[in-house]
Amino acid sequence: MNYYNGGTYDLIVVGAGHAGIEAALAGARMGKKTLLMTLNPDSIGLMPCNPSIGGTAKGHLVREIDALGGQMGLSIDATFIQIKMLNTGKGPAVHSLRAQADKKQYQSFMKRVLENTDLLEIRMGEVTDLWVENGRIKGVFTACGAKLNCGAVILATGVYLKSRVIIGEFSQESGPSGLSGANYLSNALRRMDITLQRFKTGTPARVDARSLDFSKMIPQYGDEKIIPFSFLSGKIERDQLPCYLTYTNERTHQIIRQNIHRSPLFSGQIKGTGPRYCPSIEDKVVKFPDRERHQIFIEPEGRLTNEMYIQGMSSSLPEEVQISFYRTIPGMEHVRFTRTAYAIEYDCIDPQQLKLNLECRDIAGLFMAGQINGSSGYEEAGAQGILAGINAVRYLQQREPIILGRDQAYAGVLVDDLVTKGTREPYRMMTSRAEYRLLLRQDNADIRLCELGREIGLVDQKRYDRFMYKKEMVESLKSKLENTPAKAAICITLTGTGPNGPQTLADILRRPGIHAKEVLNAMGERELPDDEILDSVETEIKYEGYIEKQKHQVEQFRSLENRKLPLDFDYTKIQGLRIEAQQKLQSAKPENIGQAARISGVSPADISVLLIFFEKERTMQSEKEKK
Amino acid sequence: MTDEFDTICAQATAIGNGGIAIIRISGQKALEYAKQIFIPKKNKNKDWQPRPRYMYLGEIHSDGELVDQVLGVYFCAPHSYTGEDLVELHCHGGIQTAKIILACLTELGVRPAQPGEFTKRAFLNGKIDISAAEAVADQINALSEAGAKMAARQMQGELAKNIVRMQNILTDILAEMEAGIEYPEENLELEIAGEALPKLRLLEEEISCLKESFKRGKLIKEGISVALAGRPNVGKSSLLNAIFGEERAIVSDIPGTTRDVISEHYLLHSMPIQFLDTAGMRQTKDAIEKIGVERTYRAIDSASVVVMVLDCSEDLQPEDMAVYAYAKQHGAPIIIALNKTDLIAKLTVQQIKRQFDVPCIEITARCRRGIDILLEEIYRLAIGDGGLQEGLVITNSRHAYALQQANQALKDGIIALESGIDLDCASIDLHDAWRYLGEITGQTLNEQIIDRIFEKFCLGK
Repeated sequence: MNYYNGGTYDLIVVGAGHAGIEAALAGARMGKKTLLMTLNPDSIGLMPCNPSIGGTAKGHLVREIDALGGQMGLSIDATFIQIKMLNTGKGPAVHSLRAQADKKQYQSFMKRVLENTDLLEIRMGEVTDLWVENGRIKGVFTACGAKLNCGAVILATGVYLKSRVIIGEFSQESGPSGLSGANYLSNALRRMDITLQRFKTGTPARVDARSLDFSKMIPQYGDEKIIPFSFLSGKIERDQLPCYLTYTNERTHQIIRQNIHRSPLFSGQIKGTGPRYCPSIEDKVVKFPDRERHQIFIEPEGRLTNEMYIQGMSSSLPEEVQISFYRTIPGMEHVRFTRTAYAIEYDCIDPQQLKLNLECRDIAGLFMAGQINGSSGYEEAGAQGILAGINAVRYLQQREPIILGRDQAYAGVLVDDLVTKGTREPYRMMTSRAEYRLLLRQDNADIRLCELGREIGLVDQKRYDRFMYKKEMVESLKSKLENTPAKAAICITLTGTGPNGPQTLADILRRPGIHAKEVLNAMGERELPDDEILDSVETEIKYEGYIEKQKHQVEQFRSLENRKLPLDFDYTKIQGLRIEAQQKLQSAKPENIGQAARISGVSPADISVLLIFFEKERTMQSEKEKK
Repeated sequence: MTDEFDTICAQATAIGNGGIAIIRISGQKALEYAKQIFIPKKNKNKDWQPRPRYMYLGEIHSDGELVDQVLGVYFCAPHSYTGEDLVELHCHGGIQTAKIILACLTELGVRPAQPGEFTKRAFLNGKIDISAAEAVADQINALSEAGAKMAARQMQGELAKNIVRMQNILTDILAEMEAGIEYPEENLELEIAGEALPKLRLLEEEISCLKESFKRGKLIKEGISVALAGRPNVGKSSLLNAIFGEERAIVSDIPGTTRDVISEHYLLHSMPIQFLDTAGMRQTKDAIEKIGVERTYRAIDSASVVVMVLDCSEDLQPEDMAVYAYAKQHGAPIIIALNKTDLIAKLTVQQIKRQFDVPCIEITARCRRGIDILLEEIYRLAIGDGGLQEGLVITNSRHAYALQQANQALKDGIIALESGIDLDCASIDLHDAWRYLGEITGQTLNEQIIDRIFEKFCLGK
């Protein structure tokens, strides 16, 4: 085919989903001429599955994206129809925000932001091939015959690569929601020796709200006092829409069991690996036969639509079976489907082929972000997107990559898990994946990352000022509480008893059930700082012991993490390294000792051999220099 | 979890009787820890900073009691043997003092070093020259396969099975806690009081038991240690001479002749028995002897059996009651050896049995009468009636340390849960406990092989 010259860019981002958006914005905001390629500009920022952003651990990711200067938090704050802080009954590490989104509004908001970003262009088209020369990316080719030149490419193709939708015995080549898939790029990647795997995910039916009887369900409301995702959003007041809770029952399960032979999963028609944490309703019924009922949440898809999302009921059973078991659920007896639940299979890469900056190990300048890396979830995609965007620019600038540590951010844990360990099912972020989660709280995401975002050039003055203000307020209030002795009167007011030896206000705050607000009130403070600041201070003081414990663990973690390994090293050269370890290290090319130790199949013994070997090299080097 | 760069301590000189014993503390917090037990003679100011590589005279205190007078030197990183911050404490010889000081340090949180660990650090910090490094690398190359096999064999053992089982219990509980956290809308709240806590308490007890078995394990490895206690001049040294059949201890009529603890080994049923001869117990103003008396108490503390020697030609004295009370209080089994039965007896076995509820053996040290019976009784008391083969026993000090840490973490976790602290905090303790158990089964990041090489080749400490 004869390609015409379609133009020259610094950076081309393929795909305008949640990863592609953050990547493209980061690229343009960092001063690079960026092209965002999408199969369809109407599906920019599409949420093909649940109408919500955030949740446990995912909410942390959104705040981290925000702290680095990303867009997801601001856009959902502008358009959510309900918001809730989850896990408030549990400790500060696992408080998580979740918002119900107005899907269409979110999309148009995002599109508007992209359209109004300098240096950013949006273009419709399917990228069919990559132009690589001497192991370096030079551009991309499109289905309509354009050859686009660029210095770096970010693939954020989501679930669109060779995607196939399956509903019972029916299946067809298609992207989500009837959108077309991308059928050429997989082959191009394979030709470049990139290993692909096949994953599967699914989504429940959407139904007509008018066909539901909400009086038989339990309404679920948002928080009265709205805490936004973005540190920039300030106070928000908005009417919120409720969700509804209902349950499956024995009759539901019976219908599923009777028809299980018609499930493409059980008949073997679906070959892709599905996520364990997001099982279809038939999965739940088969795997947990003793459960009498399962929770079902009914969530609005937006303010201007009657479509409702039925969370907990994803399925790939035939349409007629779906309708009949959906109708067994209280409040859904007369349900009318607008969209049938389906399973979708797609190609993604084995992320172990990437470096920690999300760049392909063998093709310089080719970055990957989002579901193509085997993750799932809008937030996981967004976090990878912004990091890939940042690192693509760093690559263009010929500067050191930005790699977040497992002790710095959930986004760091996410990338390290994917790249170091790989994944055999769609990867979802969870708070228990983070070893140092008491340090990686959602309330301090800005404290952790804003400075870095500023350094990179993504955090603007307004955001930075806001961060500096909060940081100073937190520090000054904390030191005030720690250094002010508690007067007897305050002690008695707050605890009912007099002081127990010399105590500071911080000591009083450490007692269970006492909050920073009460302490400040008892002190007679007239103007209280924002709740955001009070909460951070309270957490830092109340959980000090555990925070210290985790900081100590981080110190130990860092000692291995800081020992860098050469990327172009031939591990087969090291005698005494077991063959399995040689192969694993050779293919993984870890960037430091800590990462090497996390590779499965590499034992502590192998790590010892590595340590000794590289120490020996280093000593020899310095001996030579002396001579 | 890596313990590669935490602070460690160990005795650097050979264990046994020497004039001086040197204790080394190495790691980032070496000085911080040392300053918590070492009080310089000239400067009692808290903010006192030692000059590197200068020797300071000072005292070691534990719980407000004087342990020993020592010399301390601080080496600032990287100018030290290990290349890290390092403190040396030179204390009086004999194994008791060094043991006590090490115990003080461990209590503060300093980890007992593995054999060879100081050298390993020296190497990793580039303090050993190229040829030594070469040798070390070769050893590792040769041994990593063998070591892996050895570890695998151990992993199939009874101990590993038990630890893995414990880990599984913890994993279950943690999984339940985490599920509730990750999926708040599913109402999967783990029932802490009714479900998790009883299991955790049971586990804590089990680990505690296993940890305690280290004492038995140590007995098997190191033998029985016997403290000889009693007033001056009741014949403790003579008893030693009777056992070993030679003039080991200085015997004289001057009370208080024995001032230091003397260790001897005697083999009975293939079990080495070590005797800690102590200075006579009596209140004294003599400073050196006072330290000696302190040591008697310490010897009793660490003994597996206390032999209290009485002179049957003399009435019971308040000091006897004091020794008895001290030993009783510290939990070691006691035997009374009623000595000098060749003299006119003022004390009889019956009288003693009425007074003290412990076995009493009549001996005459001077002519070796009753000695064998006494030894058999010591053996019986130390080993217990069940013999040695019973139950699971910890023999490796690394295992013992890991279990102790796991136990502590578990205790912290239980207290946290009991006090109603948030699950995400309590889970930090439980994760810790798991990781420490993992150090035994090798399921966490740890340099077992490199440790073993230095252990095996004893490249110094």
